[in-house]
Amino acid sequence: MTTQTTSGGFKSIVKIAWRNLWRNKKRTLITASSIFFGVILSALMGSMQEGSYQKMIENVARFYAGHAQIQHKDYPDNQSTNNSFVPSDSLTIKLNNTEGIDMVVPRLESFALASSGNQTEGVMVLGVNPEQEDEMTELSDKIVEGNYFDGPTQLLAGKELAENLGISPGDTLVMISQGLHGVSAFGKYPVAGLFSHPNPELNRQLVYLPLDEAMYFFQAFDHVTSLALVGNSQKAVNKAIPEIKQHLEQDQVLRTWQEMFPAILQQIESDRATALIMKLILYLVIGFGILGTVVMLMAERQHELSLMVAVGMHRSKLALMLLLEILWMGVMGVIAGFIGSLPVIAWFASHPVPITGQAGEWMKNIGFEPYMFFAWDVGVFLEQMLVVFVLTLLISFYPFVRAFKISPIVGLRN
Amino acid sequence: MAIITIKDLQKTYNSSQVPVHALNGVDLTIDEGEFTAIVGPSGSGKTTLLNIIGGLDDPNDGQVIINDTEINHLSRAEKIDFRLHHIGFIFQAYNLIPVLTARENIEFILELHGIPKSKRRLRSNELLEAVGIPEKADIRPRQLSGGQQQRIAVARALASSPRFILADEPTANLDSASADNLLTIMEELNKKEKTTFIFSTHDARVVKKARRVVTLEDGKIKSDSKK
Repeated sequence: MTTQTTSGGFKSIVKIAWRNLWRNKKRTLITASSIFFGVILSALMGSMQEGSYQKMIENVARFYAGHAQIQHKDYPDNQSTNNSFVPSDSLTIKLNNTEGIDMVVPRLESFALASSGNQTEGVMVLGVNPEQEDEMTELSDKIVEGNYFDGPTQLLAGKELAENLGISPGDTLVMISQGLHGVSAFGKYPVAGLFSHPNPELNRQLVYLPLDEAMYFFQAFDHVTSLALVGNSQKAVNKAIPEIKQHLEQDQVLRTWQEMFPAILQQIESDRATALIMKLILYLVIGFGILGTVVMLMAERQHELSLMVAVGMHRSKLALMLLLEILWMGVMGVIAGFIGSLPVIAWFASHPVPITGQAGEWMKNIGFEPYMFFAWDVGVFLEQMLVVFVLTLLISFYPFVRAFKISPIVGLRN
Repeated sequence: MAIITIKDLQKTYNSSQVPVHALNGVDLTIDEGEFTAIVGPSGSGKTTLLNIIGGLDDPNDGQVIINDTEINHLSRAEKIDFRLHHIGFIFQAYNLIPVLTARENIEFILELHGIPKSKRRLRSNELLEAVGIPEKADIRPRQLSGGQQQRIAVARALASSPRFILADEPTANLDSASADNLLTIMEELNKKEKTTFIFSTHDARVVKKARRVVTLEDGKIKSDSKK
């Protein structure tokens, strides 16, 4: 008489695993719920995190600096009109025809002293093409008082700056500065409107002038301090960068927003690290919840599992059965969590949560909009689903390994 | 013709401070088609003997040869396959899989064998008829009485037509009527299917039906009588 090996029983394994799942409905539902809430909470946390970063990046890149800028090579170290440049026609044509670049917005930027009555403030003067700037930054939508540029010699001032200077639309602002090659720059400009920028820092400091007027003010005719490049995404712009670089002159550099604002990037990275710790704690709580169920399940079924081995079921099949059971529980929780988190995040993505009180003020002071923004990002869902699924998979190793240690005699005796 | 040959079987449990010699030199031969009861007081080694014959437990010494295979020398996986193909088990506590119906419990063994569905169905119908409860085919164990559960356990043990069946106190949890009924069924199956039955039991009714009675005491065979 010889021993034979058998490979049958897979259907029974699947059937038993599925029915075992519903044997103690309450427990299965509680465990699946813990996974469900885990996915929702972690997806919500991830969405909030990414939403804040996206908003931050949007405010900086999309609504202010652009995804990248072409500047004079010395401009990053010394932001003076002396480090401006005259964009060549060939560069302009090239930029307008580069795939991935949707807009090329010229700017002339420098500092000035602005005065009205007895009030004087240091301001940042940004010479812009009103149409292009509006297209890029939707500046006209940010006008809270007065109008968007009414005429060629009018300016727009930040709301807080206007309050500090005591000006309102129709008043006149006097500005003095130093223009190209040290020439004295001065001018008197009527205020067309006041804007409220998402970045409070800009509200306190920024003044927009039409580009031609700014060139005249700084005596920097045809000069710009930057050509802001805007694409439909950072990725598209990054892809176009190598080609653009080939057309730059020796004294010109191309800088991405990350290079222009490294502090923001660092802040995002450090925030991500902090959030990761929070998520790990959450995953740990979920993980121990599932593990508790699994340990209890194994203890309860020891007799039954031993019986299966006794009557001829291989331990590997037993392990597979337990693995399936735990994985189904995990998959159920993860899918339910995914479905549950969709409307929650969709709601929050379209209804940012305002942060009021001192926390809100603090956020304003450090240059952030006092809102909790949520990202509608598939990656966030998938990441959380994947993490919780992997967590379940890891936990299912416990019954998997235990199944190989099942002794029919010990189990049956118990 | 001997189906099981046991030579000088020794089993000692060292779980307590004093070693317990559960089996102390058992020699036994079981022939094909026997209906044998192993009797003896509690702790005499009946269950241990059955467990070792079934490859569920290992002896400290001695041999269990089932036909030409010495099962103590098989690996864990080989023992599982050996049990699946050659041995049927009936336990005192029925031990049906609670999430499967009566029929599925019977077919479970056949599915482990890789037998196709149509043949499984034929065999389960046949066995459900044989144990007298075909109408309970689609009912789960918890909805069956103890006697009905044990009948399903018998049907499961017979499902793959094993060479022999080891039944550990199969009537211990049953009332008289159910026990009698079950014994009659097993006796008929023994005759009809030529399956060898080995019982461990305290039950006088089983002893009465058995054609051979082996009495164990202190891990040794005290008597061995054939009717």
